[in-house]
Amino acid sequence: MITVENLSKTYGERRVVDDISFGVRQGEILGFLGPNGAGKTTTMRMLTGFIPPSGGRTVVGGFDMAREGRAARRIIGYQPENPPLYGEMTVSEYLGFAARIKGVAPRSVSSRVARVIERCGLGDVDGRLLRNLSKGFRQRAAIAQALVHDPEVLIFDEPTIGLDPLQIIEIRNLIKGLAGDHTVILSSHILPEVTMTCQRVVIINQGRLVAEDTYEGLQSRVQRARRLFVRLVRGEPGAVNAAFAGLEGVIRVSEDADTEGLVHRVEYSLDHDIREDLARLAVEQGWGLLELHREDLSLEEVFLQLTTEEDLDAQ
Amino acid sequence: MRIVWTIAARELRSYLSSPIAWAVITLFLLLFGGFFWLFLADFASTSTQIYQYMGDPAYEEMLGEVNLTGWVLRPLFGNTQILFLLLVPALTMRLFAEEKKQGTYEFLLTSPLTVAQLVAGKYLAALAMIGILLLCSAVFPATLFLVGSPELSAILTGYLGLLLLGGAFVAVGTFASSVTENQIIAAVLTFAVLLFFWIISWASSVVGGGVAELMTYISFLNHFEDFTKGVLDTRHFVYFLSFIAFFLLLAGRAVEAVRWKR
Repeated sequence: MITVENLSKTYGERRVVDDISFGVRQGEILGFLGPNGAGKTTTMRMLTGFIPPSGGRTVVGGFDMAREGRAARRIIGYQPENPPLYGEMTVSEYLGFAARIKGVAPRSVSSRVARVIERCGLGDVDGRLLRNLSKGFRQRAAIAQALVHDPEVLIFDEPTIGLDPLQIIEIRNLIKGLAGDHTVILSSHILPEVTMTCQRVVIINQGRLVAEDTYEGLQSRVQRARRLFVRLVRGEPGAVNAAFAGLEGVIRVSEDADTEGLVHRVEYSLDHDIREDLARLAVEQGWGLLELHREDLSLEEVFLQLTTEEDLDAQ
Repeated sequence: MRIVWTIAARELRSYLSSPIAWAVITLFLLLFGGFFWLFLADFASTSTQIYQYMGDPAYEEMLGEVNLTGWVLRPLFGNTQILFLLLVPALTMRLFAEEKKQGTYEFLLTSPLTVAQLVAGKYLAALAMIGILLLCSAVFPATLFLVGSPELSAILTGYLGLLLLGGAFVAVGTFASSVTENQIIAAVLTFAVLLFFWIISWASSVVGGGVAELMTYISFLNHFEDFTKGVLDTRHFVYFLSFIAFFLLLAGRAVEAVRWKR
């Protein structure tokens, strides 16, 4: 549905986007991940035809953005990083305007507007002026604008930035619900954001594509071992350590203490899932198992590993 | 075309909710009314003088020349040019520059709009503002009908001339706003370009020859003058319409350049 080939963008001497290629299948949600300043917004802007690439090309729904830009733009809904709102319009006026300029037939404008207002939870504020809305509602209006003409392709640039946790969950669920009918690209600099919503992840750093994989795939690529977080109430630290280390597949155990008791971090190899064995052991010994969960790598760790891995390859 | 109206309607609404537009309307009507009163007072005192000396053949000859068209309408329309020169930049500076500043430019350019629809919609909205200004100002010449019998045709051609002149000024302003995201720069650029087209006809007297003729032709001063005399000439229509088309095409190019600059 979306093909990006050798996309580059240079501003003067600076290469903001450097030879990026990836693809998105129909109905898929792709996470576009990278730290601030990695070139995410520039890539989104080239994908949506706002700025031209310095090299390479983008094809959306079979339309080459450089040659058939208008046809390509017709099937794209785009939520830019800064909500593109006219302060002097009300929510429904604005969405009506957006629908019309995106080619929605005049007689279906009001029903389309009503649908996205409901879908994005804007019902309570539809008659208010956009300039008087809170950040969360402004963000939702920007997302509603992207959805209003029911486009096949949706591109969201940092859709949850600046929202409170409850709003973030709502927006994530909204985006998740779009999968299947729509092809979605979602950019973010927060890993959980992407892992919770997206099926596949593209990671860029300093304008270059670092990795493209499913999240699990990425993790297994960067992780040579998995890590468990175990919290116990009782138990002799040394004995617990020794017992955990004795389980098959365990590589390393480290311990820590906090107000709620003992915390152990147990690293184990990928081909042994030790969680069941470890839980049984803790219960049999009466250590008072309070908590047991797998610790995923944070974006920073994934990043660090991917980028250093690449540096090693380069050497 | 429907899309063009959609854009123009949004722009016009946005105009009417901005303080600048109301300031421009107020200033325009104040100054226009001021000029009107000034010329009318002058006309009144002159004609009173003439009536005092009725019977003197020299004065009776003058009587034929002192009329509302020549003494009130023509100078009024002439001075409206200056009002337009000062006020149109304030009206047009926001057209594109504001969209760029508030981030809605990205929204417009990533929608399936064509550049022509965008430029035409914005131009028509600003032109409608000129229409509103002229319509409100028509109150003043209309009062003349209560006290005398001004030439209706001279009023109509004068207003047509003002509409074309305003349309030309707005086209320059549309272009200027499309090349910058700074409204002040857009206004200054508009003013500079309009001033250039104004003074180029003065300069022609210095140059002389064929170049002078060309310069006189390019300047809108002479083309506008005939309208205030009640004269309609296709050459002037051609001039104004091509002037407008030229600057709107430039604006379109400028918008496209943003999209295709590498």
